[in-house]
Amino acid sequence: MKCEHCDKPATVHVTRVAQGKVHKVHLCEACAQKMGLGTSPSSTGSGPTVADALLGSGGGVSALSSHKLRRCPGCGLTLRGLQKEGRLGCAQCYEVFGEELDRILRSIHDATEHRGRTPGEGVKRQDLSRKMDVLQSRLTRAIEAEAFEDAAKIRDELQHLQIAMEADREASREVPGKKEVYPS
Amino acid sequence: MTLEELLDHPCAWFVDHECGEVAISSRIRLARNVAGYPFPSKAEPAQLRELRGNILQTLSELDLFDQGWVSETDEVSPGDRMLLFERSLMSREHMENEDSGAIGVSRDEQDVVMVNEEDHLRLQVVRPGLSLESAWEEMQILDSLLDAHVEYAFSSKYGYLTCCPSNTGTGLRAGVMLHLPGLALLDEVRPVMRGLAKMGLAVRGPGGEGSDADGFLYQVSNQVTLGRSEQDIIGELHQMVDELVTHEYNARLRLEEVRPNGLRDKVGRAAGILQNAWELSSKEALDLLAMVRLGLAMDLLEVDEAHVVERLMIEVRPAHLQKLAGKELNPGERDRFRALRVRSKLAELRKGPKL
Ligand SMILES: [Zn+2]
Ligand SMILES: [Zn+2]
Repeated sequence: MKCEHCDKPATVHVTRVAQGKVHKVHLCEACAQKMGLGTSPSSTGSGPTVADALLGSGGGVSALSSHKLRRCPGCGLTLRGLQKEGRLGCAQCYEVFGEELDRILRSIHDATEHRGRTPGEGVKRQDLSRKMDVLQSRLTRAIEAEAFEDAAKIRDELQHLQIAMEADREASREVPGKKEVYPS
Repeated sequence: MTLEELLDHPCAWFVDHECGEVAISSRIRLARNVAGYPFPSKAEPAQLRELRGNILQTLSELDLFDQGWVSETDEVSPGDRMLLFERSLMSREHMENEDSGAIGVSRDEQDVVMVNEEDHLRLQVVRPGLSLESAWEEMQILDSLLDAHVEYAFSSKYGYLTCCPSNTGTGLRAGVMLHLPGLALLDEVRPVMRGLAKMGLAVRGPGGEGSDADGFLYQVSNQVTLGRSEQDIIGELHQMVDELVTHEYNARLRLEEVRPNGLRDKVGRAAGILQNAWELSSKEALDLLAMVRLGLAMDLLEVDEAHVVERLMIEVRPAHLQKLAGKELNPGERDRFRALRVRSKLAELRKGPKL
């Protein structure tokens, strides 16, 4: 069998899943390397790398054997790219590479699930109201000093804070008995 | 506020701790990305510039930064970027993103937002001394202020989604800068650091990964960001730092006990060189200043001006030195100017009650 990109003998055979369809791709070593599908070990550094965690203890076995040549639709990152860089490209990567990622995360954090602050609900309400107090007094000072441009800005910020506080209250009302991460 | 005005202040987080304290400053950093945009490494330049525009707009509406200083990275000269780096206001990686980087700094330099670093947002709060909890309080406010304006990339399973899996979850890096000359003189830094690494803490020089511990300054920080709450992470770090601080004080006591002459020799020589040298490299200056700082803390030396040594520990760095000189200096000129600055600032340094 010949390589699909040049006429050298194909030695690398990849099963690729794209848009729900399975394609077989046959390549020579050189072309495979160019496409980031080579079989040579990726990391020369010492110590365990993200790639090692991804590949299990085998280390040198490439993604080829996993039959999963996945690509993130959000940013185009491939499994191979993740192995090489050890970095994710976008939020969607976290879903696309979930299985491999869990392995990486376990090796770094000994955990795979978040426990902690979440957007919108984390801050203690009293912190927000303390911030409101500070802004209120700044506003008063700005008006006294007739610094009206500053005052307008502070007023805007107060408004934003108010919205944030309301959203916060909304959120905790919507989910009755929701666990307070930072009880006041 | 202009950059000039900002840099005119003494570096608040570095000098406002109690004189001679082991823990110099506490830093909390959060990695955040904005939903709907690929992370900086995979996003198009135009996307990143659009995002930067939105964030800068948000920052300008926040009193905290409006009273401080906000700028796109390419508008800051390379020299001034280096200056910001020396003050821990900018990371190395961030200095180089001329295309889409931006930075916001509060008036007191304690709140910082870096735009389009490794992640879309790096929020940083620095406080003098060992004050992780109050830095975290402040950080929650900063995080919420931004959260009210942008939608963060977040998953209920993984938490805050970051470019590097080592930040996934809380995105939290909490660190304390410690001055450990006592342990260093006893050759005990290495074993202590190995112990800390086993506990899951990272130890580095203050410039970040790979930097030397010039001046016996070390940054101890958490490594685990996933599976534990921010408060647990910070609480555990605080506990370990407390132990480390006790260790350092014990080391100083032991030095006084087992090597009283050696200690006085080191401290005395350091003071002598700094007061009389005409050429000082950055590393030599930092290492000797560290000995003087130790001498001051142990009553072997005395000086009237509070935090003069800490201030010098920032000022002797190359970019700061050139700012002081008001012009570019070649390395030889820098060494001479550095020595001049140190000589004049330490002219009042004298023997303390215990020397
Ligand atoms: Zn080929
Ligand atoms: Zn992606």
